[in-house]
Amino acid sequence: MDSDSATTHRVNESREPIIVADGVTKIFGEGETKVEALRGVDLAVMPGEVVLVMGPSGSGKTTLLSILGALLKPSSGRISIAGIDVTTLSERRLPNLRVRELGFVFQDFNLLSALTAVENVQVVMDFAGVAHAESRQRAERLLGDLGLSGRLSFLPEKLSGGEKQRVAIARALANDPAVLLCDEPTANLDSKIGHDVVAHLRRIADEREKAVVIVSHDERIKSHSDRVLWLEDGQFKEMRTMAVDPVCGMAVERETAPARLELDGETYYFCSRGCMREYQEGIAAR
Amino acid sequence: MAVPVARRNLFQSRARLIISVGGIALAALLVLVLDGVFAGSEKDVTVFMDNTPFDLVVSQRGVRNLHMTTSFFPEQALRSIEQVSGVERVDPILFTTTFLIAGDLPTQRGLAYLIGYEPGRLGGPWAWAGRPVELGPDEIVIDIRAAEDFGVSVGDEITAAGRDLRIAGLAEGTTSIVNSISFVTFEGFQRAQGVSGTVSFALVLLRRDENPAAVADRIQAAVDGVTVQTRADFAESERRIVSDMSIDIMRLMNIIAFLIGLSVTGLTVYVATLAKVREYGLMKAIGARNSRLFRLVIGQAAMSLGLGLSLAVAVALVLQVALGAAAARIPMVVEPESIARIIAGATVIGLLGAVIPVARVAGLKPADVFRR
Ligand SMILES: Nc1ncnc2c1ncn2[C@@H]1O[C@H](COP(=O)(O)OP(=O)(O)OP(=O)(O)O)[C@@H](O)[C@H]1O
Ligand SMILES: [Mg+2]
Repeated sequence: MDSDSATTHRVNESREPIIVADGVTKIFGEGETKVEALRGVDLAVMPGEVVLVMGPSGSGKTTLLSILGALLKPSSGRISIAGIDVTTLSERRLPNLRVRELGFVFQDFNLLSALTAVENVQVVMDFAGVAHAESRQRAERLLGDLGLSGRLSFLPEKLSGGEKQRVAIARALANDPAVLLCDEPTANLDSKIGHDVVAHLRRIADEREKAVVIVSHDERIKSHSDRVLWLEDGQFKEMRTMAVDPVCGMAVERETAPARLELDGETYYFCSRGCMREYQEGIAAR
Repeated sequence: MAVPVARRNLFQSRARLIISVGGIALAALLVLVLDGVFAGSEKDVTVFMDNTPFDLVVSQRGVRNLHMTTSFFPEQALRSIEQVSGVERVDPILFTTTFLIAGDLPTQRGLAYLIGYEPGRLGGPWAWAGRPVELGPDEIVIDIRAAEDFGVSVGDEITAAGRDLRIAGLAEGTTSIVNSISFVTFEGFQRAQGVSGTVSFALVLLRRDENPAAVADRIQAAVDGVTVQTRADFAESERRIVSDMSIDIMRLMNIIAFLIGLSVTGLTVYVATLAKVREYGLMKAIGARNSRLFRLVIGQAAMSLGLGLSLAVAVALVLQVALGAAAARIPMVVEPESIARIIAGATVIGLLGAVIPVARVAGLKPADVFRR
């Protein structure tokens, strides 16, 4: 996938958004320990669209993803998934929504360690009441699509990180949900493998018209995304003003960066003088 | 058929399988063995009653058992008993508790019941180690285990009730945790103890189809100064008196073992479930219903309980045979009630151990799967 794919993937504008978040706030705790993790977040994601959410640590990314995935109730605001108002749905009906409309991909894969690759995919079809023979066939096909035909009966412990994450993606797709929610899907993978995983997600969005929301610090995912959103202090902010510290990876505002460095016509922003010094020493060492 | 998650979880790692199934099996085995030894010992206490086929026993008034009692009543009473309607036959025995002394070593003496019986009538040895013998008045039959302990055998002399007697034969299966039983002839007993004209117990056989309780009442009414009991009551009194004295401690040990067994079982299942609780949370997040999670942990617990308990019962039955074999002298009887009790207890506790940690997951919001 080339670097300007963001512009080549046109999203069908005439469609209804599959994910709608409307004025979502989330408050944890109260009094002294009160944390406003989200403050009035609005978001709409179309089928086939890949949205990347970036932002500093603690900015509320995981919280947002959990709320979109109906794993957490917002303090206020509204979420609808595939036209279903999730916020008013009873606890009893949530499993059905999760299993049919949502697919999750996690940073640390979260496969069931006692099940083989194909069983890990099948098990969510069990939750949806799919017959065994059919679930087997579908799981094999999904894993085959992700290049895992030779790994069907491997236990997770025998799979590489990239293979595990592809099994997780197959599992997320098992019941053909409208939405894929991915939290740091590449963080535990080396860069080549991480790139493959994102390429798979991109392809899935295109071919299967899935809405994909990825939370990540990984800059390279930008090129595969239709949109990049910057979440900070529980709110979406302008992306332009932000830069990433090349040493520690922290997001820093360009205007207020504690340290900056001009080098060969490029400007680098740092979270601290320490990071800048480390960067300079690194360059000197080369 | 769905993906067998419970089975996969259970058999995932050999170490964990051994710990959970083995833990349950060991806990149950502990209980079954102690129960079995308890039951075996309790059974042994009444070997005489259990193996001598009388219907009623008549004793000196107030005497209801053998252990630590003496019973004497006049020989003439036997005539009166014989005349009670419904009585077929009356066989007298003489009885005392004595020390058998085979030598000077401390291991060469032991407590024994001494029973004097009329050869050919009830009250004598019922199982022989070796050839059955006709006893003469200066001869004695002792238990084979006692003989082995004392280092004596047939033909040797042994002191019983203050007299030297020749060991004429060896009886089998008359040893209990309290003592063994030795036998002399009625006449031999009279000589040894210098008694005559009295008997200790009259063993009564009834005519066919007679009601034991009714005949007992008739004997009681016809004969002064005696107590009449059925064989079952006689055995029950014996059991009770011994259990009041020594088996109580064993019963307490059994209760403690049962509680320990249940705790180990509950904890084993609890730990096995807890080890997977994060995965159960994940399953919930990706769409499993609570009912599915409960079915899963209950299935897994039921499998490990089934395997563990079966193993325990199998080993206990093997032990029962092995311990009952001549060399090992531990009486052990695995009773169905004992098996039923541990299975019921372990199942209840085991399922609680599985359900409690999952109830927490079920009650939880599943958002935690994104947290590390
Ligand atoms: N269950 C909770 N209880 C209390 N506070 C919470 C809870 N979950 C999250 N928070 C707080 O909400 C804020 C946002 O957390 P969140 O995990 O969404 O951040 P994040 O953007 O995912 O961070 P990271 O990039 O480090 O994963 C943090 O200040 C966090 O401490
Ligand atoms: Mg996070």
